[in-house]
Amino acid sequence: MATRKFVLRSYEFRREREKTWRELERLVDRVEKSGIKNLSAAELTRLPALYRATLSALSVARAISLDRALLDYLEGLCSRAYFAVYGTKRHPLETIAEFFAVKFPQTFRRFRWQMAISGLVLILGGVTGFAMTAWDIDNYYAFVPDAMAQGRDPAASTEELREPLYDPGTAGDELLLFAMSLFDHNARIGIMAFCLGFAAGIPCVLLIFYNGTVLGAFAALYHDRGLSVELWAWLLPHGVTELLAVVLCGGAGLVLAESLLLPGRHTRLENLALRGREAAVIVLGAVILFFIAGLIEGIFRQVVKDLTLRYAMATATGVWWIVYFGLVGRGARAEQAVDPGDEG
Amino acid sequence: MAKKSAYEAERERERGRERTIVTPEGIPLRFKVAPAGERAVAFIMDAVIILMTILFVIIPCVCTGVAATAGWGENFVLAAFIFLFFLFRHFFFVGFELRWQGATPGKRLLGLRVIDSHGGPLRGQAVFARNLTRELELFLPLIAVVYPSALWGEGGAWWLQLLAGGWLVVFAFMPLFNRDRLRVGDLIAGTIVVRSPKPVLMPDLARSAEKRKARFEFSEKQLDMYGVFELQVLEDVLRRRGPERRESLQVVADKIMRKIAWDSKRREVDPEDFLRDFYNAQRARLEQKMVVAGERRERKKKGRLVRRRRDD
Repeated sequence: MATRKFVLRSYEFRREREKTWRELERLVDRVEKSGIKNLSAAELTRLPALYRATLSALSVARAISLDRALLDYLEGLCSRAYFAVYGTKRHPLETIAEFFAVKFPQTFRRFRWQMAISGLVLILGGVTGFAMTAWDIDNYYAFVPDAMAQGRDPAASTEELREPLYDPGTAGDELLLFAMSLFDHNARIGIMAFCLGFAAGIPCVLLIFYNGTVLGAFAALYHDRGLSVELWAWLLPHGVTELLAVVLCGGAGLVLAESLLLPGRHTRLENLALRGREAAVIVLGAVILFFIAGLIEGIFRQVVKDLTLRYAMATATGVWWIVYFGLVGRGARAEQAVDPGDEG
Repeated sequence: MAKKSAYEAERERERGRERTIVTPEGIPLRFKVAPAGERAVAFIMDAVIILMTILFVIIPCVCTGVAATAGWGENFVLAAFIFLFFLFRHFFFVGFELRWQGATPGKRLLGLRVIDSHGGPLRGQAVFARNLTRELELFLPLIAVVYPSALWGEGGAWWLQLLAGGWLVVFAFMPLFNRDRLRVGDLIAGTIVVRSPKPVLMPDLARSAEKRKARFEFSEKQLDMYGVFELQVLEDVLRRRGPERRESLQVVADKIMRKIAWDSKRREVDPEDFLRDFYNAQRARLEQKMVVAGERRERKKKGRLVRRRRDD
């Protein structure tokens, strides 16, 4: 029997290229641990080269090798390297800056119709609540739960109703605490409104509408006692921002609902995925609005008692949001959802 | 035989969980969808980390902060606490998934990661979208079940509680009802959670062929009895370590000998040597056919070779 030299192509193949793979593996490990920023300039140029070499090795290995350990290894390494190479490379701070300067207002404008509908529903709720309560003051109890009214109901005297509007309530440092509890509560409702959009939008619309009716009922009660001007001075400084945030969350919920109900040329699920992340931008922005509203409500409103100043604040916030959503980020190119094939 | 078919069924199931992403270079990469059980374990780990942080870091800090500032600023501390708690609750997952390329501590421990379902870069907005819904999927119904009066005051009806419980169950088990194990957040964000193991490059089994001369020779006919699947099962068997290694090698060697009509009476056969040589020869043969003839035999032939007569 002749001693034939045993040659296995796939074995030779592996021996020749293994060093490249090891090098790539070390780089990918570091990217995963501490981010791509930690690579040196030389390593940064090396990474894609190594990635492409390894990817082509994978494709060759699939054709010529039956060594499963090798195939599994290359498969795993290539997918990790793929995300290291094509993953997001931007710094979080950069992303945040872009979010406020471009992304948030732009997304808002893109979905302006959903926002408009959401706003309309809120106003409709408000008008309904107002009209029903004005028509029969006892309807107030149907709209405003006792826990929320805290004695501010038709049974209270005008003086009792007026008092909370100027209530110093709390000492200075408690205001921030108050502000944060308000923020936590409101933001949760906003996020819920968005999520409910997933259930075809009906609960989402109901939630916004209901919020409107509560407000309307309040307004009707105070209107009945001739306290309208003072009530709105109390509500609007933070209300402009807060109601806007509610509208944003509701609108984002409607975006979800629409993507499910009217999927257009995509499948429903694809469409949901496409629109869902855009809508999430709105909700994230809305959470920040809630935060601002919480600060105004918890601090400004408790400190400033002057009607003119309160209205001035309301106007200022209103103008600011109109400018912000109307103008900011108009020039910048929209960063569209990119198909993976387009990048590289 | 039963063992092999169980193995085969497992491989079959694994293949069912595979999803393919084509890279811009035009090469498909395969990913395995993370099983629901692993997702759940990863989530529980994260939840434990969150709870522990709250119990042993945040609350002690707040308590000392309140005690230290008592009388002049404890409410600032409490306000900061509410704010930080909100951030922590919502941005624990977001922060880690952004920073660690789609993995939270729990996911990392289990070798899972979030990816864009079309293979694009995992964008911040997708991470936000998939984690915002946790509020609805988990925290709210959880509060509704455990502490309902926080949501709708004292007069909370029992059926609301029940409804919230049902809601929690439906959302929690949603991943079980679709092939890609997507929860609502994944649906909204267009993400998918996959296994991202870090396979270690094992030494090539064929290296043994370089060190020593093959002791056993096989005819082409004998090698043609088996296919790729059996070769890779054999690879697994040879790589396995443990007390039963020797025994299982013997079983497999006997099985192969019967199938390829190996004349084992000729001399004493060490199963390890025999199987290593058989693996090398078999792999060389199959790879050669694959490269030269473009032919890939996946499975073994039925039946077994019949020995016609003694050669010696």
